[in-house]
Amino acid sequence: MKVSLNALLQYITPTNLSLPADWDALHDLLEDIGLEVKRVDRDEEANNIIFTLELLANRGDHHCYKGLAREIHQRTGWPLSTPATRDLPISQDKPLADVTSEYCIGYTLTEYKRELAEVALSADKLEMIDLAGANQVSPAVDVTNFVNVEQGQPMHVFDADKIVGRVQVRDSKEGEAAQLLGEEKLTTLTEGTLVIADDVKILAVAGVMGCETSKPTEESTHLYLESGTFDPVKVRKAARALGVQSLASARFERGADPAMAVKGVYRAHELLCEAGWQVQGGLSICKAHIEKPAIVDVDLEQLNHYFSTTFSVDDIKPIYERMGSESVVVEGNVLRVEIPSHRQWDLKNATDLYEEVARAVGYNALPSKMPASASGARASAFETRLNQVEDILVAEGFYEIFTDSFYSDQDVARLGIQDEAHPLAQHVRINNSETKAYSLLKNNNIVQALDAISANFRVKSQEIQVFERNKRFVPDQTAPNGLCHELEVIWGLAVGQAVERNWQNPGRDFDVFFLKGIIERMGVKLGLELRITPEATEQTHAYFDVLHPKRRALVEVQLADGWKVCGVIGEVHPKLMKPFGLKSVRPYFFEIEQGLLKLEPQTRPYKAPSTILPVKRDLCFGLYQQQEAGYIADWMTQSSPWLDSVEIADLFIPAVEGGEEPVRAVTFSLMLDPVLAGKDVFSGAEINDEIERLAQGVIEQFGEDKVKRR
Amino acid sequence: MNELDLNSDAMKEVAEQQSAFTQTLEQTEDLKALEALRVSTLGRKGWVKKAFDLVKKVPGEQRKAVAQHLNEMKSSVEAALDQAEVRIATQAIEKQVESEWIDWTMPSTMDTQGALHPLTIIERNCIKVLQQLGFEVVEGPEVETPFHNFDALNIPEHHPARDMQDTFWLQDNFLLRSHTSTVQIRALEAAKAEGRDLPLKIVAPGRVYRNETVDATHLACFHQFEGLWVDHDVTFSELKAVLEFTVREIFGDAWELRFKPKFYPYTEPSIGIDIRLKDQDGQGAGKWLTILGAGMVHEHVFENTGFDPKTTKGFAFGLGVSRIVAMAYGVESMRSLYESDLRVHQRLSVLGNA
Repeated sequence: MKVSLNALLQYITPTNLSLPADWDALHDLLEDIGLEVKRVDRDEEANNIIFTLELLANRGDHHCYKGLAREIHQRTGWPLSTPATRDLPISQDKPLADVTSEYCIGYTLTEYKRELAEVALSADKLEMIDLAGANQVSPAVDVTNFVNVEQGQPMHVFDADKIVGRVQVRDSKEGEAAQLLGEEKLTTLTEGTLVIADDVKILAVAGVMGCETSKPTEESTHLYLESGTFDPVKVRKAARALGVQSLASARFERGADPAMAVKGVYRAHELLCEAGWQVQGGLSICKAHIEKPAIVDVDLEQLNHYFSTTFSVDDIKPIYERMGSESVVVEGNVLRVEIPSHRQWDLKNATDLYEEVARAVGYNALPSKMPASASGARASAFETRLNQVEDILVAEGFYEIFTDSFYSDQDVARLGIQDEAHPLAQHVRINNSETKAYSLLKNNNIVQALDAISANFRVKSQEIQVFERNKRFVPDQTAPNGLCHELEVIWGLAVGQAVERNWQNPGRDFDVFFLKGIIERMGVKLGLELRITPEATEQTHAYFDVLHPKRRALVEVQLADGWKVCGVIGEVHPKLMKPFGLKSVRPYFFEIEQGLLKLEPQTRPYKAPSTILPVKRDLCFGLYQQQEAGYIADWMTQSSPWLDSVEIADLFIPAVEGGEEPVRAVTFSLMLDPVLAGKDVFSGAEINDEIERLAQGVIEQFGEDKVKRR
Repeated sequence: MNELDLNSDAMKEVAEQQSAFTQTLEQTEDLKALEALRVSTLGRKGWVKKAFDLVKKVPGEQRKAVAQHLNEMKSSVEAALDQAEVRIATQAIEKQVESEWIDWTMPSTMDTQGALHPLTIIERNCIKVLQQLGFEVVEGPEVETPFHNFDALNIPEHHPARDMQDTFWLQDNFLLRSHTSTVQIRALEAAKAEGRDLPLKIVAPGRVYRNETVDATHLACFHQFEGLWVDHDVTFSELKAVLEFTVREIFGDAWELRFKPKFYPYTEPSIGIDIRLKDQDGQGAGKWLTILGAGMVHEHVFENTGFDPKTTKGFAFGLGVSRIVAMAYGVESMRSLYESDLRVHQRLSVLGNA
C-alpha cells in the first residue's frame, strides 16, 4: 500500500516527533508494529514522503489511512483526528433493495440527485486515491474510492435511472452473465456468485466490480450509493473466478468492518454534498448488521506467564482501549475485552489479544527465557551415515548439486523410451504448471545428469563430477498415498579424468571401475556387504535401457534374507549422447537408494593375519570374452581352504590375430596360508599340487570354451 | 749422504711435499679426488709414511725432534684433509641446492576435492546448533495432500494465504508441498498416533515448490528449514530465547537482531527476525535482512492433529536458508545455486565462508 506521510498526519498527530524530519524514528516504529516499509520516496518539493507498506495478510483493517492511524495510536497513544461527517436520516420507507443472500452481511443504499455540475474532490484527496492505484473517474465515484482509502469501507454508485425495477442482493443463477466495467462482452458468472441485480440485469458483482449497464456517467444526475459488507470467502471466490482484483475486493476479502456499512455513509454523505449531490429521503438500511460484539477474556496471570512479564491490569487495559475496544471490564485478574467491529475477523481468542499487548509493548521489549528442557540431541544414525557417504564423494572430487524435481515431456523424450509400459515412461503429471518445462515429476536422474554435462561443456568445463541427494517419483497406485513412491536416492556422475591431467602427468580417464571403487568404499564405511552384479538375470532396473548394455550392473546389498537390489552403476548408453547434444563423451553414472543409510551395519569378525610366512603363487588363465574374472577368483577362494586371499593382479589383452576370438590373460595372485592348512610349513610339492588342483578345477568349473590355462 | 736432521735436504723435501699437498688440497673440489689425495698422502705408499721412514736414519740426539716434527706435520695434514672433506661436502650440497630451484608458481598436482552444496553446509550448521537444544531431524513427503499443506495449517480453502504460495497441483488432488510446515503436521500426527511423550522437538529441512515464473530471485524449487517445539507448557518468552540463541550461534555476535510482527496462518502470534551487521562501535548499521519467521503454533493446528490446545503449546520457526547462503557467500543469483554449472560450485568451495 502506497501511503502519503502528509495525508497520514491528517489522521494522527505525533506528540514527540517532528515529521518529516524524524522520519527514521517513525520508520522504525512502523516496522516494530508490523507495518513493514518496503520503499521510501521523498518528495522534497512537497516536503512529503511517500512510502510503500507491506501489510499483514490478516489485517484488512490496515488497508486505509484510518486503520494505519489506529494501529499507530494503539502503540503510541498519539491523538487521532476524526474527519468530518454529515448526519443523515435513516429512511423509514421500504428498503431500496431486497437482500436474499445470506452472504450479504449488511447492505445500505442511499439515493442522491443533483441539478448543478459536480465539484471535484480536493487535490490531496485525489492524490490519496491515486496512490492507492485507483483512477480519477467522476466526483461521485471518486468519493466512493476515497472513503475506501480513508475509512476502509468500499462503496459503489449506480446510475439509478438505469435500474429497472427493484434492486436485489442475491446469489446468481445458472447461466447469468454480466457486462463488467471496461468489458464489451458479457461474462458468464459462476452459479451462486453474490450479485447486485435489478429486475432484468446484473448491476454489479458484489464487492468485486460494477457493470457497464449501471455505471454513472458525466450526464448522470440520479445515483444510488451502495455501502455494504459481504462475506470474504464469497468475494474472494468471485474475484478469482473473474480473474480480477479491485480495491473493493482486496478489502472485502480480508474482512471489512460491518459497522462501517452505515458509519461510512456519513463520511461519504459529507463528501457527496460537497460535490453537489443532494440526498433523497435518507439512508436505506436494506440489511442491518445486528451481530453482538464478541467478548474475549484475558487472564492476566496467564498472559504474564506467556510473556514472562509482570504486567498489571493498569498496564494492559489501556492497550485494549487504544485498540478500539469500547468495553474492557476487569473482574479480578481477568479482563473481559469487547472486540471492536473492525477487528472481528482476526481477534478470536485470548492468544490473539496477547498479541495485541506484544505489539503495543514491542516484541523487542519482551523478555526471553530459555526452556528448562533444552538438553542436547545427538545426530541420528542416518545423518551420520549420510555424512560418511558424502565425505567419500567429496574426497573423490564430487560436487553436490541440486536439480529440479521436474522436467518436460520433451526433456524425457530424449531418452528414446518407446514402450509406454516402460518404468521410465510412467510419470506423475503436474496439472497447472506455469511453464511446460515443469510438466512432469521426474522419475529418473539420467535426464538432468546428461543436461548437467551439456551445461558444463557449453562453458568449456570438461571435468564433471557431481552428485545429488534427492527423490524421484515413481507412479504406483499401491503406494501408501495411492499415487506414487518418493524414491530417496543418491546419484552421481563422472565425466573426464579420474586422475587429473597436469603438467607432471597425462592423467587417467574415468571408467566404471572408479565408480565401483566408490560403491565399495561406501560399503566399507557403512559396514554393509555391497556387491556389483554385472548383468541382471532375475532382477532388472528401470535405468538398464539407458545404460550401456555391456557396462551396466546392479548394486546389491546383503540382507538377512538374501541380496537385494539397492542401486545401479554403469556407463550411460552411447545412443543417448546425440539426443543430449553430446559428442565423444563417456559418462559414468551411479545411483543408490538412501534406504542403505538406514540399515544396521553388519558385524564383521576380525581375521588375524597368519603368524607363519605365507606362500604366494601366481596363476594365469586366458578368459574368453564375457567370462568374469571375479567369479573365477571367488570360486578358487571357496574351493581351497588353504587360500588366505585371491587377487586379480594383472590383465593383458593380446592383439587379435586371424579373426580368433580375443582372449584376456588374467593373472591371479594366490596367497596360501600354512595355518589355514593346519601345517607349519608347505613343501614345494604340496604347493604345486594345490595350485594344479585349483587350475584344473577352474577349467572344469567354467569350461574350456570360457577358460584356458596359460 | 748428509746426516739427517731437521735441516737436512730430506726434511726439506718433506716440507716441499707438504707444501705441494696443501696446494693440491686447496684445488680439490670433489670427494673422490680428496680420497685419492688422502691415499697418496697418508696411505702405505704415501709421502707421509715415507717421511716417517726417515726417522730411523736420524741420529739419536736428533730423532726425537724429527719424530715430533713429523707427527705434528701428519696431524696437520689429517686435519687439513678433514676440513677439506667438510668444505667439499658443504660445497656439494650448496651446488645441489642451487641446481634444484623450482618454480613455485606452477600449480599443485594433487587431485582436487569436491564440495557439498553451500545450502547443505548452511543447513548442517543450523542443525548442529539446534541439536544442542535437543532438536531431531525429520523429513517428510514432497507430494502432499491439501490437508497437510493447507487445511491442517489453518489455511482453509479460499483463504487469502493460499494465494501467497502458488501451488503445483498434481493429479488426484495431490500437490507439491509449498512449505516444509507440512512436516509439522506429519510429525504431530505421528506423535499422536504413536502416543509419544512430549516434548516434540524437530527440525525439517527440505525442498519446497512454488508455481512461479523463474527468475534470479524466484525459483520453482528451493529449500526451506523448519523447526517445531511442542510441549505441555511452552511460552512466547521461550520462543524468543530459543530464536535468539539460534540466531546468535549461527551468525555470531557481529550481528544485531530484532523481532517484528508477522502473519502466518499456522502461528499466533507470528514474528519475524531481522538481522543487520553492527558497526565498529557495536551499533547496528546497514540494511535489515529478514532471515527467520516464527510464532506460537496456532491452536487450530493442534486441533487439526488431534491435540488439545488447552494442554498443548508450541512454537515453530522457519529459517531462510537461501537468504543465509546469499549472505554468507555473497551470492546474488539464487538461481545459479540450482544450476549445474560447476564453475559456481568450484568457486564457492574455496571461499570457506560458512
